[in-house]
Amino acid sequence: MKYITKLLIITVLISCVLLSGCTQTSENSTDSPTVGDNRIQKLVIGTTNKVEDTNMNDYSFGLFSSRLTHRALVTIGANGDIVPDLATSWDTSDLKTWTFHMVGNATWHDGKPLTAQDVRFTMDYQKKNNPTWKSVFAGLLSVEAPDNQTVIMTLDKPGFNFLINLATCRVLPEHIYKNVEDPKKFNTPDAWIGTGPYVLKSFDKATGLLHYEIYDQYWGQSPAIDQIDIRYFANTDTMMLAFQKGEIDVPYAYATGYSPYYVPKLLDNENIGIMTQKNGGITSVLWFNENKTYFDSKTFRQAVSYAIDYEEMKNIFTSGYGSIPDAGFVPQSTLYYKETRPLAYDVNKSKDLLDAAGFKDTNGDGFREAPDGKKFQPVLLIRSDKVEHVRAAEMLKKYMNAVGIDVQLKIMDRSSFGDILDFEKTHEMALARTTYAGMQTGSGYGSSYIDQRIYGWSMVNDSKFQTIVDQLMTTIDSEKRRDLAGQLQDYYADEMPAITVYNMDIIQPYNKNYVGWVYNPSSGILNYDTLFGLHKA
Amino acid sequence: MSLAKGRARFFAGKALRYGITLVIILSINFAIPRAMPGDPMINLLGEDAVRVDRQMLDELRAQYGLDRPIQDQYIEYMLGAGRLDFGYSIHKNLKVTELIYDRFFWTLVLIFPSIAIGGLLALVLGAIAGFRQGSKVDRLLTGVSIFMYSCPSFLFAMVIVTIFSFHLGWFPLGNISSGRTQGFAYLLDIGYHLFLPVAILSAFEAAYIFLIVRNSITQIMGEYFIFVAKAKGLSARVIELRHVMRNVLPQFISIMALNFGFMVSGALIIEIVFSLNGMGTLIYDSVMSRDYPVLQGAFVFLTIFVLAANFLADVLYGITDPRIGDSMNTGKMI
Repeated sequence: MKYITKLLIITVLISCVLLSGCTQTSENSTDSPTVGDNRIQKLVIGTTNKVEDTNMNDYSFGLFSSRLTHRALVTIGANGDIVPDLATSWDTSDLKTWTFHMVGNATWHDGKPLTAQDVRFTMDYQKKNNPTWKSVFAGLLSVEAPDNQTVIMTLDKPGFNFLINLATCRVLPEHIYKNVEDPKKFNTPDAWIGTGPYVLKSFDKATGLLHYEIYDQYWGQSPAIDQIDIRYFANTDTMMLAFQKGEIDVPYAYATGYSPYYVPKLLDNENIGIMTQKNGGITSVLWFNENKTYFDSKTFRQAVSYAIDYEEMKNIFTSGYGSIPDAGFVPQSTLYYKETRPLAYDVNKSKDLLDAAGFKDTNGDGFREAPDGKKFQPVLLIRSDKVEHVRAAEMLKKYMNAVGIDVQLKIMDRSSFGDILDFEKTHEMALARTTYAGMQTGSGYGSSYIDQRIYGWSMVNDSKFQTIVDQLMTTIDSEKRRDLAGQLQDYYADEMPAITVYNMDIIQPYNKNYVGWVYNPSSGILNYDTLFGLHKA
Repeated sequence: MSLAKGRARFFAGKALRYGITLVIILSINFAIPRAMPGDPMINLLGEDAVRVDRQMLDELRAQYGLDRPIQDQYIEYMLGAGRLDFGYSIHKNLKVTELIYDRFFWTLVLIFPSIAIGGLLALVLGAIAGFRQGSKVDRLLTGVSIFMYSCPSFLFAMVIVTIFSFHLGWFPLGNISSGRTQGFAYLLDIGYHLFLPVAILSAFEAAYIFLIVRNSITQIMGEYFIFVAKAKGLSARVIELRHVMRNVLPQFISIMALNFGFMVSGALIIEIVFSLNGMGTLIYDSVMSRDYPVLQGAFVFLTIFVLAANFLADVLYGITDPRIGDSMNTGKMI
């Protein structure tokens, strides 16, 4: 038996040594050779976004395609402005009819020229096949292409933020897609053809590895990186280990940064830099459904706002990488941000407001009854996969209990949560984040989340609010827009249809051996400014 | 009753039992995903769900046939299951069978060596501990085994990765391969990438089965027939190998067969730590996104796999235990 045990141990050790030595050299990208002066031969991007299939309807594949291989008419610049992409310029006189003038020398990856017909085709094709487009562009009456470089789009009513929606729409080649009946199942290399500076060369399904190379016939300025690998990790912890080891140059996630818990370790590494950006979305918002009894009370909502200890929330959940928000709801980085009443923690004021609204403890059990005398146990919905929201909800329960509100937490899976918040609208309160893109849609300033006519997480149906929102949609003049944006933030601060519980800055680590990293509020660190400007330090 | 008839009757009886079990499980597979709260279409749309209205959601539902009466969906599902055709994944837009074949293959590549190595280790170490009950070796092995068994697999796997992949750099941090090799180098690359996950799964498998083997041996060593064997003057090695180990085998086979089923879906944590594309993550993702076709297909495959493993265990019982073998020949069910 001893002999067998020894044999077994020796066999395992030998296999271990052999396997660890016989393959794979480290892919330490910090040592990767560069060509030319400062050009980068290969950039390795780590991600937890898994590409299942190389068709444009695959969420993650669509995400990377929109960053590397496909371009839109317009795009969102690093400072949040709309900037030219395939359209060099555009004009509108009434916000209803939009005329776009396109670049003249752009080609698809198969060499065929890009024309205005491709744009017209894309809008029609996607409206037919993509439910999100159908919904977002429901007001787009027509798309015309009078010549190869001009596109005219007509809306049913003025829409100032039309360009924001257009910035997310990548143009597809008509000569390829016109024969594709079901784009969800179209995954051959033809499906990858775009007008962007990179071409997808291979996709290894077993590992999820995407390999891109520069498009040598690219019509614009040549990007600064020759090859890009996108490497999949199933969990962030392992990805961060790979990053510290130099196997990847940058971790990438859409519309979010990385936990501050990783920061101390990353700061110890001399090859790693960390940038922090003000978040254009909001990490954690407490939503009130104003369509529900008791939650339609402004005094009640204000009382809840005074019950929360924002300083404690900021310290616990952002580790210093966040800020105490204003009552005006929108993030400080928003265009025409207006300073409104700072959110304050004042238990006595909260109790006074609850008393004033008629919420009193009539049976002496320590919790307040509703103004009509009924037991009052408001339900707060949270998504189970948002671990930090679950923890934050526990804190909110503590704060609300302290002022006598017997809040009940209901933790739901992503699907059920979405069903209630997006469609059923049966929630009373909910904790959820907003994204930068979501904050811009509709009339902007997060109004889509508030407005009953759009997303309606707060189900606000107030004519005062809707008037401001509608005016924002149809106003071009900057000063007037500034004034309307201020009015909207004042409305939020007064009515409190939603409370920003805490907002964390975007923490984005990167390889310090390369310089020229640019953070974009919409697409994050993986954007054209980075791709065209990154170079060896 | 002739020997052949008896055996045929035994197998027919078993086949009938397995057939009925399969139909019941298939029906449960159909019902469970639909009984869960949540809408697959909302998951399909992801963050965009907020931008889509109810009418478009209904149109999408109709596209995937989810608006049809439940009995129609059930009949189509059962017919599809008969042909191993489960249609297309709602979330991944891929044919379910291709998705499962792909994932199942990598799961088997991960699971087979883990179960074989883990089982062998458990048998050897369990025997060492069982035959030396109360010794230092027994205490050490039992202690290590209980520690392993009670250790959270995610924590254990992350500690191993941090030491062997991150600090020592002996192994990669994940994935099934580097994605850049071909031919024999590709196979070596896979072996290199799978070494740590297989080692961890083997260790967990061994820790679990070790306790069963060790306890069985301890129990059997106190049986009367062992006393008789000793009284006959048989050597310790003969008693251990011929009398004790043979009696341990039926339980060992039974637990191995059960573990095949559990490990196919239970390697989820290892798949997540090492970024491997297996059945564990496929099922997990499908549950989270309410991807009915994939869930149904995956469960049917697992059902067939577990039933086949159990059937194999039944047959192996007959070989290892003559009493069961006799009942197979006479057609008497045990």
